[in-house]
Amino acid sequence: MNLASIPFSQVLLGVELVALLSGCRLVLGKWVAAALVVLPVAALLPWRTSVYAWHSSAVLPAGAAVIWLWWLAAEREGKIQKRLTGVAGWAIAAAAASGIVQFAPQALIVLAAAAAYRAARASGARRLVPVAALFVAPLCSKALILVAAAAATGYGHGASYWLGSNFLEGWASRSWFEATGSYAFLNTQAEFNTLFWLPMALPVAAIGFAWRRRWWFAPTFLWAAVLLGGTLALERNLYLQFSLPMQMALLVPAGLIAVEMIRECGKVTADAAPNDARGTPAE
Amino acid sequence: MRPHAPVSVVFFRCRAPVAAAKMRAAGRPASAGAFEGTWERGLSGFSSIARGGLRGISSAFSPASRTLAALLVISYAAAALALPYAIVAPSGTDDTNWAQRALAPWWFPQPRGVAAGWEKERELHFHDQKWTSAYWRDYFYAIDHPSVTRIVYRAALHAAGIRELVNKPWDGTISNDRNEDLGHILPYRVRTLMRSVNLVFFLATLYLIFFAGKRALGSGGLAFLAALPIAVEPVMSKTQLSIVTYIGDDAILLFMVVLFWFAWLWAKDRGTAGAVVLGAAGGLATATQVNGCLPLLAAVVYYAIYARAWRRVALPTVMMGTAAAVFLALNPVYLGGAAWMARALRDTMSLRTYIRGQQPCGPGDFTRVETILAAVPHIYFYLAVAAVAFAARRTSWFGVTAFWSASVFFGNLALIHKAVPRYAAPIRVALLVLFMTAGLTALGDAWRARPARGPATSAACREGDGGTVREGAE
Repeated sequence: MNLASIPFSQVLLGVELVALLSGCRLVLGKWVAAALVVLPVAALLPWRTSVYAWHSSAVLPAGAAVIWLWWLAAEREGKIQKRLTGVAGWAIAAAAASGIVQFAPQALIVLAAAAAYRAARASGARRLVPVAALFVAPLCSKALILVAAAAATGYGHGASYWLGSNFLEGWASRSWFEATGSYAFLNTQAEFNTLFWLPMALPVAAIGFAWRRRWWFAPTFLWAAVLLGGTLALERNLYLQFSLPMQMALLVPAGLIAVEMIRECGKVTADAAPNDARGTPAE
Repeated sequence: MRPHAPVSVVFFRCRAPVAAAKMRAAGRPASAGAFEGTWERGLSGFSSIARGGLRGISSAFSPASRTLAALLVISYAAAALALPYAIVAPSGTDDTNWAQRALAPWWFPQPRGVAAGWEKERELHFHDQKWTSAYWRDYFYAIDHPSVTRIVYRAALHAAGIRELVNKPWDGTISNDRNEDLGHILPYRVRTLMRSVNLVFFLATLYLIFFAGKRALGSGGLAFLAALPIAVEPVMSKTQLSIVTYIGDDAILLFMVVLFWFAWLWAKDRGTAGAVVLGAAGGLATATQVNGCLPLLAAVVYYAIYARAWRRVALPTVMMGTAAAVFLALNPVYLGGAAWMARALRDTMSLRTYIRGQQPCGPGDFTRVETILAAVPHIYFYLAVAAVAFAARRTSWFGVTAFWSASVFFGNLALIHKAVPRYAAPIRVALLVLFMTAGLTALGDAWRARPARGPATSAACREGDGGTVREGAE
């Protein structure tokens, strides 16, 4: 097999899946449970596509998944957290965030949320550290490169071009998925499957509120809310099937809540089970 | 009371003395007018809402008022989405056929018997569907689809004074444009009437889901939340092939399938009487469309597993016997002796197989996986469905609902061969009913237990076993 023939977008999808799987493993403690959560995301990814995808499709999901993994690791108490929140850790985070933003400028929104959250959890002057590392550094690095490129090419309105072409696009990418299914199938998805997830997401979110004191809840739901909000705000076509950020934002938190719920209910004895005892017919 | 007394007379004869007695007991004159104090009660209701928020609603309005308001909102949501399509959608390919089918006598008034050359002529008529006699037309219609939908449509058309159609049926051998040029479409008045019948049955389906949900969840508010997503489901109304817009038996089938669930919740612990009711509901569903028998088969398995002693055999037998009696009463084409019944059943199967073979997989090159994913993309949330179902497994309604839901969901998923909305409707309803009922049970439990601290305090929060409780700032 010629590895060079693999489209780079597929490599990025692999990065996204590995990051999601690792994050779920961090939360759930079991690889099998993590795989069950990530399975629908993997099933939705356009593996068969031969269409070249770059800014608009694969970089944002991969970057967002890596940011979520870092966020969880920095939140979970332990040795890893201490290393990540030390001086060297923050320096590496700033470099990594800058690198992600070079390829996925949309990820700046996710980084801003992570920086705000970490700043709110810190105290005193330490509040500035996450803001500087996760937001200011990537923003400045991207701006510097833009200015340098504009100066070198004489392309003065590059910033507005960048904003329009890179920042606002890529939240959904129907064209990328068109290589993976029949045209009729895609039309059907658009015709009566656009918001099918809405009645399922709302009860899960409401039930998930019971797990709000878990360490992973705030990073995960904030991350998901940013991705979902970004898709809703910046994308006209609200298709779960064609939007990788939306898939991550809905399926990962729902899966985590579901696994936690199954575990919790498995521990509950019959006396403490919800509502009444199981009915038997025709007694 | 005299028969057919107006509702107002019934109210004032039966309820007015009771109301007067209550007013006297409350220290108010019994002669007070029916509307006296309404304004003050209304103001008090609004002030209690303002004071108590959501809880204030329950104290401000009576249960009947809240139920009525919920049904009105559900009806409005469903009708507002369905009516535009029902009114403006053009005539479909099957519309004229269904109208002709409805106006033909459903009881098959032709003599039962097999003349010489019967087989050869049958093949000829079944394949080109151009009738040379009323016998073959009536026979084809009678064995093609069970009769409940024909009976319902026929009643509606007759009530509107429509007793025959001059339009010829849609001809599948020529193009759509040519069919429209030749006038093979259903007149606007007739198709709007038939779509209105579909809408009525769809609304009735939603009411059944609401009341069944109310029975299961013990709360009108939660039942409203369970029914509302189904009211706005696009497979019900959004396209020309949705169950309200498409003229066929899908809307009535959905009603019958949900009626079976409703009846099952009621009949679960009612022994033989319950089995008779379930058998009748199952017979009605089967007499609407053959795959309506799926929940009946699930009920048979359920009772065979969970009933005790002789009831394991007796209740399923009663159920199947009742269902068969109802089905045959509504489809008398199969009556006429054992040999005739066997022939008619064989013709039914061969006709359905032939029609199935004539149809492509779907509007395009759908694979089997695509067909399933287009019908029910909800399976991406399989973990959430499993979780809420697992949490609700010990509730009294769960066994019945799970059996019903699984039979409708998996049975129709196995049968579906085209990704059209009307085929997806029962599959989605089966999934959403189970998910919403179970999810809202968990939600209600979480709401009632909200003063207590959440699962964060459980042992699962230890480091190394899933994580740690977040405390303090870094």
